[in-house]
Amino acid sequence: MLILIKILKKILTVLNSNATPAQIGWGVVLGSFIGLAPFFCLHKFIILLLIIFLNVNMGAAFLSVLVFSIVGALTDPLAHKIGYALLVNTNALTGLWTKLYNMPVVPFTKFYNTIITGSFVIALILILPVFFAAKKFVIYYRKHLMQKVQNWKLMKMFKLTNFYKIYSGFSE
Amino acid sequence: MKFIRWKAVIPTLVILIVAVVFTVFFLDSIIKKVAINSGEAIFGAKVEISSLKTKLKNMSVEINGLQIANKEDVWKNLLETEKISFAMQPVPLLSKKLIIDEMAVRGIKWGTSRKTAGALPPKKKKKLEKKQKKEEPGIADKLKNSLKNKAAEEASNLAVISDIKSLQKNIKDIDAKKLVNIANLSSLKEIENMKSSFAEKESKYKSMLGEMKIDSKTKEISDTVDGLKDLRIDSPADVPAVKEKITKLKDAQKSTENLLHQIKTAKSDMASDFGEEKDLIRKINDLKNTDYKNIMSKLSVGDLTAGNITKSLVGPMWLTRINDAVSYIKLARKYAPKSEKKKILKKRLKGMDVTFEKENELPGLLVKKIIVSGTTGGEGKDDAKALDFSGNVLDITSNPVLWGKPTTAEIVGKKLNKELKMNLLFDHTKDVSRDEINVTMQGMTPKDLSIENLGNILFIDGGDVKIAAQFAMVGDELNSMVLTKVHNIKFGTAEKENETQKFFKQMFKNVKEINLEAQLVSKQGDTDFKVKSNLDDVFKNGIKSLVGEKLAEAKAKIKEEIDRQVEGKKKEMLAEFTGKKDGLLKNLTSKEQILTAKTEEIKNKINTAEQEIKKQIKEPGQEKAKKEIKNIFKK
Repeated sequence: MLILIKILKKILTVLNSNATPAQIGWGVVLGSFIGLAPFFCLHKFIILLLIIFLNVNMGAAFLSVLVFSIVGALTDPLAHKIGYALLVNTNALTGLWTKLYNMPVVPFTKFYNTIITGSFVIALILILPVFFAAKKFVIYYRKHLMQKVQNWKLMKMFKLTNFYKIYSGFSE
Repeated sequence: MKFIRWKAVIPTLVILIVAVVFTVFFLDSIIKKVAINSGEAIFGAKVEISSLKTKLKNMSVEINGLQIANKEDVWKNLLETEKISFAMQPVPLLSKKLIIDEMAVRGIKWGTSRKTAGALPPKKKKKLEKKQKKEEPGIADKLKNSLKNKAAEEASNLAVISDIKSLQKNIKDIDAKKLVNIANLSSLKEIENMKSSFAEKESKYKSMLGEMKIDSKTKEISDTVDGLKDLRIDSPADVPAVKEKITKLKDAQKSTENLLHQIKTAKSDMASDFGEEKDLIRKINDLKNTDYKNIMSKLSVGDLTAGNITKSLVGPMWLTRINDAVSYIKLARKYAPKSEKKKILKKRLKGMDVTFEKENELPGLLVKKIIVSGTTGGEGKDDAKALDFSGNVLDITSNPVLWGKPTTAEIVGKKLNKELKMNLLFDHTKDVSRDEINVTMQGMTPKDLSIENLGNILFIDGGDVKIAAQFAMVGDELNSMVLTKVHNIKFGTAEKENETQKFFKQMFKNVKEINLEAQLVSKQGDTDFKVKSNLDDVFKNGIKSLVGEKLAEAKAKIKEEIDRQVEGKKKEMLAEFTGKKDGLLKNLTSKEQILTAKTEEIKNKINTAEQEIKKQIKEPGQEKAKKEIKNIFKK
């Protein structure tokens, strides 16, 4: 229950911040790359650096990591199939994989794991849908729902917490 | 919209710069500390490094003044080097691989004196021992223990001949009867055990026979059989009576056969329980030999055969050297183990790792070439007899299977007429590891090889020594051979010469050359150490003149006394054995014969009855009886 409240609080904090819909959209997209991959590897670290260095909404990104980790658990079998098809069954790509496998550093991305490759491909396919869906939702929310939500007792309570103040200050 | 979040980039850059600066200033001390700690964990003694310099530009490392203390002798160094330098290939480092094309190790010395003790602080030592305890002892550890025991055994033999006066007195004082009496002979004990076991067995089989009640049962059967007469069928009315009689006969036959089976089983059990006489004799004779050896071992006169004395004189020294060789092999096997075969697909908790072909895959650690140079001298050693050496070590790797080449080394040293040549091969590229160390030395003096004092009994002042040594460990089997030749030998004198030293000097005064062949073979935990030498004959004559006759006399007396005490009892025991076994056998055989005869008798009776009845029912008017009697004789 507490976790759900926390997630809701995060969502509301992000939606009510001063971040632009595009910043939130890109945050969600980058977060999806981290959330879908099941275990730590180099490309997750690079995306984490992108989240920190690029002017995307960090709250949205971390929220997206959380949401896409749950989604990832469901898409793992699909990711495995995609990864297996690309890594094992597609002979045309074997040369590329072998080259990458023999390069320094690249193997730290664990691209040779079926789920890592599969989930990366899923995340790539989902870039535009996720970005536009997130952006559209933020615009819709701010136009139609924001005023109502601001008047929720829960929202008023959230605004009093330290996290909200710190976050608002950082996201400006 | 700004694309970059400078608020985050600037602090990250600052942290990075601080990390780089820290690395530049403190990397050397960090690596030095890591190297020292790893070294101490490997060698179990202090490891010191004077300075360590790294250059990130060409990824090179220079280690000056490395000293590794010897944990067995903390005031000496196991190894010391003046300078080690190497450069790592930068690209493989990104794949966690340490590849060194060429390394130089200059100023190698070993066994040099230390100014401070090289023991680790007790706390650290305890910690390391705790870690090492978890490791299962490998074959090299077992071999080392076995070699240590062998060396201790040889050293104790040497102690016996070190004091000739006591030795002569010990031999003179031997009282064979007294010795045998107090020895508590195991052969005698075994004879008594055997006797009581025969009695037990005899009563067991007698009571078994009693329980079988053969006689009464046989009588019962005989009575039944004898009572069954008039097996005639004149009319169908006779059939039930005949039927009953035949059934009784068949029951009697079954009972007899059962009894016969029991007797036969008892007979074969008894024969195997008692065993064969020849086995008993062999067992008692073996125990007699053990008794003799036990008595001799308590006599403090050792086994004074010529071969054994040579072995005792040179054994501990060579065994210690073989032990050192095994230690190096152990290190090589530990840090360059055989690798597992590559797997194509490996299932993981999530997904599947697909392995692609590795082009020119490199092992985790690879040093392609090490140029070594050093001296056999150094601090605390006689530099005048030191030999400078140099050579190359090739292909040191953590994954020999992947690299496909064994580690080899060739080291040569020369000084005036002295020559040293050493070849090493640590081949862990195949299923069975093969480690070889071959050393040849010539033009050496006895002092160069620390063989100038043999067991504080014999002193060699001069001579040309030539040694060819080979240590080969293939899998778990060690085969080591050391050939030593000493020409133009000159024996020396101890400062204060004692009786033994005088005796040995006298014994060797005409010896001009020593040829020695020491061989050690260790297979599956059995270590066999043999020494052949021309010294054997010298010892043979010397010992004969010293204690030989008296010792042989004492040995014969001890043997005689053991025979006297054991042989009589042995005869008694064998007589008892034969009497009891034969008695039982006779009894069982006679019962067996009676029962066999009885079985035959009943069988015949049944057959005769069958013939007669069949004849009778052939007569006309007997069809009904024929029908009724039909199944009686079915077997």
